[in-house]
Amino acid sequence: MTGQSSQQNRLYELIYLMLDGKITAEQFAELENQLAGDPEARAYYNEYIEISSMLRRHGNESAVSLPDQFVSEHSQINQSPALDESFNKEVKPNRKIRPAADADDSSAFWEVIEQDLSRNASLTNDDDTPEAEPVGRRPRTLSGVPSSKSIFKLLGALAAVVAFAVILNTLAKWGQYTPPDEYYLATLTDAVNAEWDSAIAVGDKLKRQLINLKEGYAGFTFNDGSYVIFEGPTTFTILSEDSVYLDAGRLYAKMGAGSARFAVKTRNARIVDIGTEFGVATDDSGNSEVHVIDGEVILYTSDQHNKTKKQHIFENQACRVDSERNTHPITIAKTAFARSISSDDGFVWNGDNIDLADIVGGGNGTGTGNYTSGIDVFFGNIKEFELKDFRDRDGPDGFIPVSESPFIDGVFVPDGGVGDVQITSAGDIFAQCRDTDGRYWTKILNGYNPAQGNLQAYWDMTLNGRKYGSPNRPGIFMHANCGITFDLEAIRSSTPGCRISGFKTTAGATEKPQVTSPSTYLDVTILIDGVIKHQRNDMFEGNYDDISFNINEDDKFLTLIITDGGNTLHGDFGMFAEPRLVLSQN
Amino acid sequence: MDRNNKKTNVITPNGLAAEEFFSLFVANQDVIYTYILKRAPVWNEADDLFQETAEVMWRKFNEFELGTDFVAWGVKIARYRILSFRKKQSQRGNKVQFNDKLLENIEDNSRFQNEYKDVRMQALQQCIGKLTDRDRHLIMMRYEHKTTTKMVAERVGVSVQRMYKILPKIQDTLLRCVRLTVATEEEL
Repeated sequence: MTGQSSQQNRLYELIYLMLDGKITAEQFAELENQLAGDPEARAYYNEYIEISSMLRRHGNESAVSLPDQFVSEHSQINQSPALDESFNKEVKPNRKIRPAADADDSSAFWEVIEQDLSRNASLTNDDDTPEAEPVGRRPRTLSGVPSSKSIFKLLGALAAVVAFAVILNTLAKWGQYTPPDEYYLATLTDAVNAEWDSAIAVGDKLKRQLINLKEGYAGFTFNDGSYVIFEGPTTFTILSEDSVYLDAGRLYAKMGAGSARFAVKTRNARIVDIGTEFGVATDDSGNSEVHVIDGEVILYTSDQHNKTKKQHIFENQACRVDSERNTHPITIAKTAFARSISSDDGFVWNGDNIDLADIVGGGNGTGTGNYTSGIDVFFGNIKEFELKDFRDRDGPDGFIPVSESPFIDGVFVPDGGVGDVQITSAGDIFAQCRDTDGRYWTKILNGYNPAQGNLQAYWDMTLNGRKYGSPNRPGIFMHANCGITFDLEAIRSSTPGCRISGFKTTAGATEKPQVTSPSTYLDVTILIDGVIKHQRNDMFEGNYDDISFNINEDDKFLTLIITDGGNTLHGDFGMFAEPRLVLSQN
Repeated sequence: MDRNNKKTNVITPNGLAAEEFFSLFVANQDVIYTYILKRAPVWNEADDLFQETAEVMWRKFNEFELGTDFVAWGVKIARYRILSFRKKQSQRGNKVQFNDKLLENIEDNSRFQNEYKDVRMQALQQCIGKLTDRDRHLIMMRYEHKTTTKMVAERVGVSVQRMYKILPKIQDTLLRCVRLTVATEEEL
């Protein structure tokens, strides 16, 4: 769903040309085709004509006359006391229309307006070429009676005079009035690559107004504490300290701690948040979607009899309201909305978790790493997979830092039989490490493609009937005996506005595709700062565990280890399927 | 006026008060005009058609039943005037008019428009106030006193082609603002 389209821009240009009688045959054909084929274009055409008509009426451009026969037959009406006054008002020149008394009459703006108005009067004469080609036009007056005597023109002029005076009064007030702070409803607190239709900058306080964000992201903090991120292109109005109108585009809203509710209105719905986070998207066709990320919202719509309908939408649910105001449940798209932005880093977070397999491949956890790349345990560098990697060899001594990735603290070959096993750069120790043979087989890999290793009949990364190790289903392949430690502090720094709330994975021994494959017998251990959070020893092929635990703000390192079960390392194919750090907003 | 200088209603030949027609016409002329403008979307043509419609409505006011829908009656008369006009235009070979099928599909929302016209007019006034100084000035020049688009362009020193992009866009901005303003006043 996007904002205003170029097709719509073209549409209003063509309608305007048509009204002025300046449209060419080709342009008319284009307009007619668009209106004939698109009900939304016809609806827009109706609105545009109505606005044009109102502007003309407001500006007293209308030359409509009451039939002169009426005027001549009923001239007593001209003498009615009620109308004399209005007649007198009409004949006075426009210069009598003054702004309010507190307006600055000497301001350049008003001088320009008044000069133009007086110039208009002198320019309006019979030589003024009309806009349209005269096509069988009839004279404006009948029977030679001057139209200035038309009662309808008098009343129309009076209405315009009054309306114009009201508007000037309002304009004068706007120019002279500095609203107090409590008048402002929201503050623009951050923006990433934002481009606007008007001059807005971070730190600006905004009152009730229409805003067009042409591209980028903008975060507003409302006076009630709620935080809303708009993603361009989008057009919206800040309605109050706890509500917005979304005309077209998308937003994400998180209620403030002290807020009782936050509302988003669209053309066909009103969404009231009663806690805590949701995304709304709407398009030019009048369709709206709401996705509830956390908490609950109430969706208000109306049916064709204008009767209000109310529907609760809960966490992990989503709903679409079409242009006919019918509602349909849809699949939630939690990552479709920008939920955190930081102009310091240009960082935009859409709710994705950090993929540790991607980090193993040299990435930042958001898909920037290389599939099937991994870390050489002996040297600590990140390299592409090579077939020659598959061989037994002695592991290095001690903990090996990985300098090529800021998010990986280091790697090691665990062997409790030779002493303490250091598992972090801070000196944390894996105290209960098994006595292994101190050897390893291959890199720690971001995924594995069996065709590359020419071993597709031998093993792959299947666990619980699902194949992992691809971009769509990431996984870390780790043959015994290996360990890797991730630097949580560094990962936190790369995700401003978010905190790491937990870790999830499915870990175990890969399933054997062939009965002739060597037997698997391995151990899985996961630690935080050297403290065991999960351990399962003596796992056979196909054994696995679904693992999930919380991570605290002061936890520094996460370590994943596969050891050989106390026998040889042969056939000990271990893996961590979809290993992810769960992010939450601060 | 009678001998006591009291205002009396002027009575039309059909016995109905002219003031009845007068007040009904003034109250509803905008809706009828807009109906015509949607189907004959050229200012001068719509003006002429509306004048014809007004004349017919006045002549036939004795056929109108007070208390019934004046707008619907006026729109019906306007429809015949439009049909007649279109026929003449076709005979003259004028191809710049909507085909019959498209005209049928242009929604007649006169009743809705009439009901909300004051709200929308008020919204329009607010929205004009929210325009930038430049845009407000241009719109006021265009509609205040019969200033053509060409004259506005000459006044501000831009090409006519450019002004035919600027003014329609400002009106689009007003359209969206009115839409938003009215929508925020509605209770769903």
